[in-house]
Amino acid sequence: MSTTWKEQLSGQIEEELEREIDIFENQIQMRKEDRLDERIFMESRLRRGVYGQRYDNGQRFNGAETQELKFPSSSNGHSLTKGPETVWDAPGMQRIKIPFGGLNTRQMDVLADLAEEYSDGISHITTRQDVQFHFIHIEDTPDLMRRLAAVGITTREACGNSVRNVTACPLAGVCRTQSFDVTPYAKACANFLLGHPDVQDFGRKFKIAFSGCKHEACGVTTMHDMGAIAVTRTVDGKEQRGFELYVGGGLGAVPHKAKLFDEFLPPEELLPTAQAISRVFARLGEKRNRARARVKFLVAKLGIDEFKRLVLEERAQLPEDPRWTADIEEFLNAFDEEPLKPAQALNGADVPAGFDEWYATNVYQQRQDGYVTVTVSLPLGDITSSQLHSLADICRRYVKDTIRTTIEQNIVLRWVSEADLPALYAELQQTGLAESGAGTIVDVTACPGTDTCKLGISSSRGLAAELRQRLGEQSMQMDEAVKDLRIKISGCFNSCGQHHAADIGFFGNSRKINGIPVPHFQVILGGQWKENAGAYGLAMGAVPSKRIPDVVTRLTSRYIEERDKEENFQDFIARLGKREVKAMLDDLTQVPAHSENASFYSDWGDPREFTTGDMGIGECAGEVIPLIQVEMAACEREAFEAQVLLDEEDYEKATHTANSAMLHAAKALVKTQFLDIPEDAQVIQDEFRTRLLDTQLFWDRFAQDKFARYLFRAYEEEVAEYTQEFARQRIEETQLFIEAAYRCFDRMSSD
Amino acid sequence: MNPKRIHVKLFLEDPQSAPADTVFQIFNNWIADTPDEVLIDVADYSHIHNGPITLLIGHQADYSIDNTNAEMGLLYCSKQALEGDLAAQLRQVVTAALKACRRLEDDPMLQGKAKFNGELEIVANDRLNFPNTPTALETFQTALETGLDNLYGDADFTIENTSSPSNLPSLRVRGEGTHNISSLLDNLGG
Repeated sequence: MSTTWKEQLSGQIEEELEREIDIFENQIQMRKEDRLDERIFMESRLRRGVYGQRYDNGQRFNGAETQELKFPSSSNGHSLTKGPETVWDAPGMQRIKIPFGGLNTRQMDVLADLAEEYSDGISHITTRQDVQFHFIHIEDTPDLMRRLAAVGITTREACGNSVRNVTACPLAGVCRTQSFDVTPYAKACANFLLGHPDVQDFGRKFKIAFSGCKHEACGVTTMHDMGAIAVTRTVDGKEQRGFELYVGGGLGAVPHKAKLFDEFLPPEELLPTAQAISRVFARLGEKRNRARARVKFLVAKLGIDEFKRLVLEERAQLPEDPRWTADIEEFLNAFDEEPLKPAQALNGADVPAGFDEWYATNVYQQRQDGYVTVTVSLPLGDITSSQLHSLADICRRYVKDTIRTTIEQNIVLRWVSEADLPALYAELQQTGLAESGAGTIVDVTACPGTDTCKLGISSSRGLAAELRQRLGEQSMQMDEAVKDLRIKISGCFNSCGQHHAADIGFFGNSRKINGIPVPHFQVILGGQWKENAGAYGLAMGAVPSKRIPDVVTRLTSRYIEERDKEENFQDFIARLGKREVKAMLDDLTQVPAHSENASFYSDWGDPREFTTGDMGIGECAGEVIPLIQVEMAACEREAFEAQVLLDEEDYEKATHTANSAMLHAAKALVKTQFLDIPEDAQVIQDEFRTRLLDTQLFWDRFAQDKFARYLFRAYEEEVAEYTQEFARQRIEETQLFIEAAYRCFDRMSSD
Repeated sequence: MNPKRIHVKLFLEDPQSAPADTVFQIFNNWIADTPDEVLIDVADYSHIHNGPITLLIGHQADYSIDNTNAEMGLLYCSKQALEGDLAAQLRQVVTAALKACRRLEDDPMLQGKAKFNGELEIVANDRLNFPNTPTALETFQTALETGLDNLYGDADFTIENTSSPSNLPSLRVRGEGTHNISSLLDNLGG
């Protein structure tokens, strides 16, 4: 019997991949012996998808006080770390790349095995078609990687400053509205760029997505660093394939819509163009300041025309690489999905209870007659190992390895013969995977948030679970107009839950009420999921976490009651106007005192007090509102005014109002130390810099001085043209600055 | 070779007796009140069908209220290599699981409602060192008979193979008569 997985899997892993995993295992050993710097080790593990996780600094707030977690590696004189402030023994996250979401049953079985043996028995599907395991020990990762590699999965570049998972529409190839199947191109792109020398020197990550058509949500290409939409044209009576190529999109703290780079990029130019973009990004992209290092900032700085010129110049100089065409041809020839069963219609067969409801939301008629794609809804993207094994077994009976993960955190089975649906439904039901509501308002998406993410502020998953349950109970009686809305939740402003592109989006933040922190969510409205994430929503104000279900009820009820015929939600919100929407939600922003209702002071799915310090409520604290709280509220109102001006298309005034909101937030903070601070913008900035930035009071552990620089830039730069996009970005930055100001004040109060 | 990780599950008499919210708070308290073990975080998986409900993540072991196969119980999952032969290891993990059950039963927040029925399921969670083969199952059963010979005192007990061929080696242990957690722990000297 083999004593190690390395021996057991010898010969089953691609040589290069095996060597890389061996190197990583050696690096683990070197780090344990203190022969490798913690920062270098961190970068190395990130490039292999091994990520940090909440509490990995060895501290956790238990609801009353911050408690030290006494890991063996950080006690009794040991202080082994796997990165700065990251305890060796603290569990971490393993991200696993699943290019275009494509899975086969063998891979599903291995994923289930690994989750069971090394994680907590849960495989989590992410909003970028990856799989994530949580609570993994660093020393288990090499074997985990070997076992994945043996079934053709790599974790390489799943995190870190490189090309992340290449995503694609999960319906590619079976979609009724696609131009053509993008799968082989997505696969070729992922394969070509994986480990490519030209993608190793980025200042930040680079995300690529493929869509088969323009008007569905599909691959949500507008929110990607590089997005390719399949298009065709006819030349001399012959149909040609190509891609509408976009660059410079991204969500994150400040969302940017991607810019059109090429209306029709021939397939043979796809890989060299991606390579040339990578080279330009590596050469000119920001490296020192991570907060502005995504390609979206480079495109915004240079302008799309100049960026394109540089890329084309680079393209012309690239040495010819046979893989540019060979890779695509290889995958075009090799990729040929087949059904397991012959096509057969349902034809009024008897169906089990619940089938019709499930059929209405979870079954998609493929372009191929008699075949359907079935969505397996996974609550919050989670599936147990037992369920995943069962699902693999079910797949073996109904489809031929035509399985994909989706960016809405579900799994789809393609090429199901329609006649098999009742039996398939019954089998899914037995394993708890027949939940209906896929792609509806019930199918809430959420990033990991405070459950496991180090950056999470509020419990995105806790809220998602609550909304899912409440909306699920109402789904049978729900108005059709509301059913198709999308809710997406992020635990912080970083947008991993893609809240900007949802009909109703939320991102986590916190507010102090009488000195006690209360979990909140910023309400984001006006986003559009269709048209490849065609529009991004804007903030409407922060609402306490426990009142978010009321926000959803109020918005959806009013939409049902007052919408014009066929008016979509986005248009309805635009018609109501931000003032009216804000007024409608105003009473929901109120938080009762802790003594009246303590439930507001803990988050969904986590009964701990939501605080990082002692409560310390004084006798009269419930009545006293500090001046800064009033002033910060005024700044928020000013930021909101800027949004209204943006809607009214007064971009210059919107920009200045947003700038002013930032300045007043800075002034409010300075005022806590310098009561007579004058109104002069330069004086406020100087005092803010000296008193708050240089002292690192206004400082984010991860973003560092990023938010402060928003303010300085706003008052430094000369604006050539006040465009809608410019004003919009400034408003986004202002929101973030205000959030940072709240956090700064919290820190000052605690100190 | 012995399995590196072993799971032990004990079953609640009343599946409703340990509500997720309450258990979350209890597990959260355990993090602060368990000096001899590194307990890290509590995860809420109550949205999942027939899986873990509330999970306490630890360094040495995880604890959860688990509803796999629609059987509600406490699942103890050891994560670090254990000392001694397999029989000793089984005795060690079963004792730890029983102690966790008793701690839950005794917790005032559950108002004495949570009671376990004395039945156990033990799983060897290590496909490399302890694959699901007839030989491994025989080794497993023999070690279990030795390690837990006095678990039910003088009462007879049965061991049932509950593993499917494609899954981990799994054995179900039932003692004749009724056995509460305290008596099982006493029998093991825990």
